[in-house]
Amino acid sequence: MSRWEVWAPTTGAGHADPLVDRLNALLGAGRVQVLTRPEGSRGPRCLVQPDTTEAVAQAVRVLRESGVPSSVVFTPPPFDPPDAPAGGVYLDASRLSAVLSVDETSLTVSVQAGITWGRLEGLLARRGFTLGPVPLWLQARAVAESVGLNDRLRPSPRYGQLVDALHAVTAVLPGGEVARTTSAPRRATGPELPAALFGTRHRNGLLTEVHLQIWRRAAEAPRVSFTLPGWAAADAFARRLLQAGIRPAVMVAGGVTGGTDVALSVELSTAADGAALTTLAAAEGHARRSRHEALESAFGAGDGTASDAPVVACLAPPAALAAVAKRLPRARVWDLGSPWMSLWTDAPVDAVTRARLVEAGARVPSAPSGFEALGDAVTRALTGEV
Amino acid sequence: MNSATVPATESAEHAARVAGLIDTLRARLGPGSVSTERPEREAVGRDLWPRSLLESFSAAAPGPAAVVWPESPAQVAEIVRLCARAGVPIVPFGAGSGVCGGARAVPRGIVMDVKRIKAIRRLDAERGVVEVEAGAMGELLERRLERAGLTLGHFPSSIQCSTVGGWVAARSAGQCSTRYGKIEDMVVDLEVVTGDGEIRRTPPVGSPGPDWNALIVGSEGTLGIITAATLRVHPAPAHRCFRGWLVPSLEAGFEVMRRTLQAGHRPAVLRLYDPLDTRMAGQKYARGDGDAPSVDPAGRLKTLLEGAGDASAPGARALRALIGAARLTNLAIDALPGQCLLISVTEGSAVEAQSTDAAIAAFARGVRARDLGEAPGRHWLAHRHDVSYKQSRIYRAGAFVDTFEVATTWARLPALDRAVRKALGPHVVVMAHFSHAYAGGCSIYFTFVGTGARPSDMLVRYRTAWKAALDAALAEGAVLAHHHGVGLSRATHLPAAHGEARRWYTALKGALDPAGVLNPGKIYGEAES
Ligand SMILES: Cc1cc2nc3c(=O)[nH]c(=O)nc-3n(C[C@H](O)[C@H](O)[C@H](O)COP(=O)(O)OP(=O)(O)OC[C@H]3O[C@@H](n4cnc5c(N)ncnc54)[C@H](O)[C@@H]3O)c2cc1C
Repeated sequence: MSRWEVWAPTTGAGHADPLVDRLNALLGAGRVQVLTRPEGSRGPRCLVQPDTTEAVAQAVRVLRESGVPSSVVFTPPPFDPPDAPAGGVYLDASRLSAVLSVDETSLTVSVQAGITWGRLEGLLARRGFTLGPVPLWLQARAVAESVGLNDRLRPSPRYGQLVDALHAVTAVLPGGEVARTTSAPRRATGPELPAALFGTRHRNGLLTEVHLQIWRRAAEAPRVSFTLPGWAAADAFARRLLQAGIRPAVMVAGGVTGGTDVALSVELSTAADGAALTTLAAAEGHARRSRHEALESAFGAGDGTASDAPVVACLAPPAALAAVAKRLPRARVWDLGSPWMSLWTDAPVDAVTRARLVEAGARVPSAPSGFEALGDAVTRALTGEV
Repeated sequence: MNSATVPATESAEHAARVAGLIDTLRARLGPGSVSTERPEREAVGRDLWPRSLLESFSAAAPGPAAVVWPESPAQVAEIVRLCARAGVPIVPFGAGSGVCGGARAVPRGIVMDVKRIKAIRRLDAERGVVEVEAGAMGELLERRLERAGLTLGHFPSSIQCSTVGGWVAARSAGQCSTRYGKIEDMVVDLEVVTGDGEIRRTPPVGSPGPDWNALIVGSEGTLGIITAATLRVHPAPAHRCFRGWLVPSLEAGFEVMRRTLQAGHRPAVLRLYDPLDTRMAGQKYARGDGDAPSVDPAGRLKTLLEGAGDASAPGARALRALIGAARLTNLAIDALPGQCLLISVTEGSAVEAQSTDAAIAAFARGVRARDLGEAPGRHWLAHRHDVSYKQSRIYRAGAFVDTFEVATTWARLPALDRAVRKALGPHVVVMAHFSHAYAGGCSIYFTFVGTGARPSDMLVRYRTAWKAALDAALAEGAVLAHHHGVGLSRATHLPAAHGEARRWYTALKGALDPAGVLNPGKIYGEAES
C-alpha cells in the first residue's frame, strides 16, 4: 500500500500529463486532481471528480479512448487499495451528491447516486420525509456503492431493502453511453435490466442517478424486545409474528452476551401492530426485555455511537447459526421468518467458522453459483472485450 | 416485418438441419415426446395474442416444425444443447395464455411445451416456501397449497390456464398483488436451463452479489428456460373484509388508493373502475340520477356485448355500429356522470383486515365517497375469473377486444390515462380500471373493443390502435407493460423505450444464449410501418 498526496489541481496547457489536460478541459477546473507519490511507488495518477452524469460519461469515454484503466471510489481513499490500477485513474463519485427533485405526490425523490444514505435521510428528514430506517452500517455508504455491492443489510420487514426502493436509474455504461430507465414501481418489459448493476461493483456501468421511493415521517416508533432461548426459537417467533401480518419497521435479533439466549427486537410502525404483538407474545409467554441491544447496535443508542461495518454478511438457515453462534458472539440476524436469515457480525470470522457456516447450509458471498462465468461474459460484452 | 413471419425463402440447408434435429430428438426422447403432427403443432403455434387470432382469419399462421414435451430438466437441457448445435430456434410454451405473442412459434423452429415438468418438489410450510416445477398449472398449485392451509397469493385471471413458468417468464401480476406482490416479489430462486444447455440455479434472493433472479424473471424465454421456481407462500388468510365505494371521480379514486398505499397498508384488492368499466363490471351502483338506461351508451354497450350473438345477428350489427363509430361513442361515454366504483378486499388476521378496511374507509370518506357495503367486494370475488371468458363472443360478433396495461408514478397517472384514451379514442371504444397500486404509482388496465368491415380492416384498425396507444404511453414516460410482458405486441416500441439500457440486454443475451436460439425476435423488434 502506498500513501499518496493530493496536489492542487492543475489546469491549462503545458501540463506534463496530456490525459489530465484533456480531462481538465472537459470537466472543468477543480474536477481533476493530480496524485503524486513517493519515488518508486505506483498507483493511479489522478483523481477525477465529475459532478454530473454527462461529466461521468465524458470521463469514461476519454479513459476508454486512451486505454487508461479506472477504479470507482466514493471518497478519496487514504491509501491505494491493492486493486488500484497503476497509472490509471480514480473515478470518485462523491460529488454526485445532489438531490435533484422530490415528487410529493408519488413520494419519490430523484438524487445523484454518489450521495450517502445517511446524508440523504438527513436532507429528507428536514422536509418531513424518510427512506425508512437506515442502519448505522449503511449511513456512510453511497447509493451507487450499495447497488454495486447489492447491499441487503436493512433489517426492515415493512420497508424492505433500500436497493429495492429504486424506481428508475441512470447509469454510464462501460463504453460511456448513458442508459436511463423509466420510473414506475413495477413493470413487465423484459428482464429488470438495472439488475445488471447489482452486485457487480460498477463493472457493468456506474450508477449516477436514481429515482427512489420515500415515505412520510411518522411519529417516533416504540421499540419492544423479547428474550428467547436460542436462534431457532427467535426465528420461529419472528416467523409467527410476520405470518400474523405484523410488519415492524425494524426487526433484528442478537445473541445475548454471556449465554445462549437471543434477544429479538422490533421497532413497530402502527398501533395495530403493537396490539397484535402484545397478544402474540403473551400467548407464547415470551419475556419482555427492557434493553434493546440488538436495535441499538443497528441504529445507535441515541448517543451517536456508531458500530463497525459488518465483516461478514451471508444467508443462513437457523441451523447454521446455531452451529456457529458460540464462535460469533456479536452476530446479528434479520430476514427472520423468510426462507433464509441474513447474518452479519463485526467479530472476526476465521476460516473454520466460515467453513462451519457453509457446512450447515449458509451461502456466503464467495460461494459459487452456476452464474459466475455468465456474469463475466456479460461484463466482457459491455466493455467490448472479446 | 416482424421476426415471427415467414422468411421469403427458406434454405434447403436449414430444412435439412431441422429434419435431422427432429430425428435426433425422437431418438433421444422417445416418440411420445416429439410430434410433427399438424393439430399438435397448431395447438402450440400461438398464444392468445388477439392479433394472431385476427391474422388467422385471413391466413393460416406458419406453425413450428415440431413440438417437444420434455419430462425433466435434464431433457430440457439436452434439447437446448441439440437445438443450439443445429441453430434451430426454440420457443418455450407454458399454457399459451400469454396475450402478447411471446409464445408465438418461430417458423421452422421447435416449440418446447414444458407442462410435463410439473411436480411440487418441496413444500415447507414452516419456512413459507414451495419449490415447484415450471409446467405446474396455477390453479392446481393453489389448490394444493390451500389443502396445506397456505396460499401463494398469486391470482391472475388466467390462473386456470397458465403455468408457473409462464408467470415468471412474463412477470405476471395476480389480482391480490397489492398485498402479496407480483410474481417477481415471490421468487426466492430459480432453476434455469441457459442457452448452452446447462442447468443452473440462481443465487437466492437476498444473496450478496449479482441479482440473477431479477434478470431471468421477465426474460420471456429469451435468456433461459425456467424449469423450477422456489416461491414464497403465506398462511391462508383467516379473515376478510369486503367493501365497495362510489367515488365522485376517477381522481378522487386515485386519491384514496394513493393515500392507502402511502400509509403503508396492503389491501389484497383495491380496484378502481372508470365510469364505463364501472357499468361493465356488472354493478348497478353507478347509475347517475336521471341517467335513463335507454340513452345511456354504456348500458347499451354492456347489453350488446353480453348478448350480441353471431356476426349476422341484429345484436351483433348494432354492436358493430356502436363500436365502429368509436369516436362518437367515446364522446358520449365521456359525457356520463363521472362516478366510479372502488372495491376493496382486505385480508389476513382479523386485526389486520379490519384495520386496513378502516383506513381505506377513512380515506374514502375524505373524498366524499358513498359506502356501498360488502356486496360489491363479494360480487367481485365470486365473479373474478368470469370476465376474461366473455371475450370470444365479441369475436363471434365480428369485433375484437384487447387489453393494454401500463404503469407510471401517481403524479403522471392522470395525464397518462388521458393521453392513451385520446390516442385510442378515434379507433376503438375504450375503458379502464386500476387494480395494481403501489406507494409510488399505479398501473392502468385499458380494455378496448373495435371492429371493421372485413377481417383485414379489423386487423388494420387493431394495429393502428395499438401503435397510437404505444406512442402515447411512450411519450408520457410510462412503462409499456405492467404484467402482460412484451412478446411481439410491444416489441416495436421497446428499443425506443429502453434506449441505451438495451445494451445490458444485448450483453445478457450474448452470454446466456450464445447461439441465439432461445425465443428469437421477442422483446425487441423493429418499428412497423
Ligand atoms: C383470460 C386471460 C386472463 C389473464 N389475466 C392475467 C392476469 O390477471 N395477470 C397476468 O399477469 N396475466 C394475465 N394474463 C396473461 C397470461 O396469463 C400471463 O402472461 C401468464 O403469465 C402466461 O402464462 P402461460 O403459462 O400461459 O405462458 P405462455 O403464454 O405459454 O408463455 C408466456 C411467455 O413465457 C415464455 N415461457 C413460458 N414458459 C416458460 C418457461 N418455463 N421458461 C421460459 N419461458 C417460458 C413463453 O415463451 C412466452 O414468451 C391473462 C391471459 C388471459 C388469456
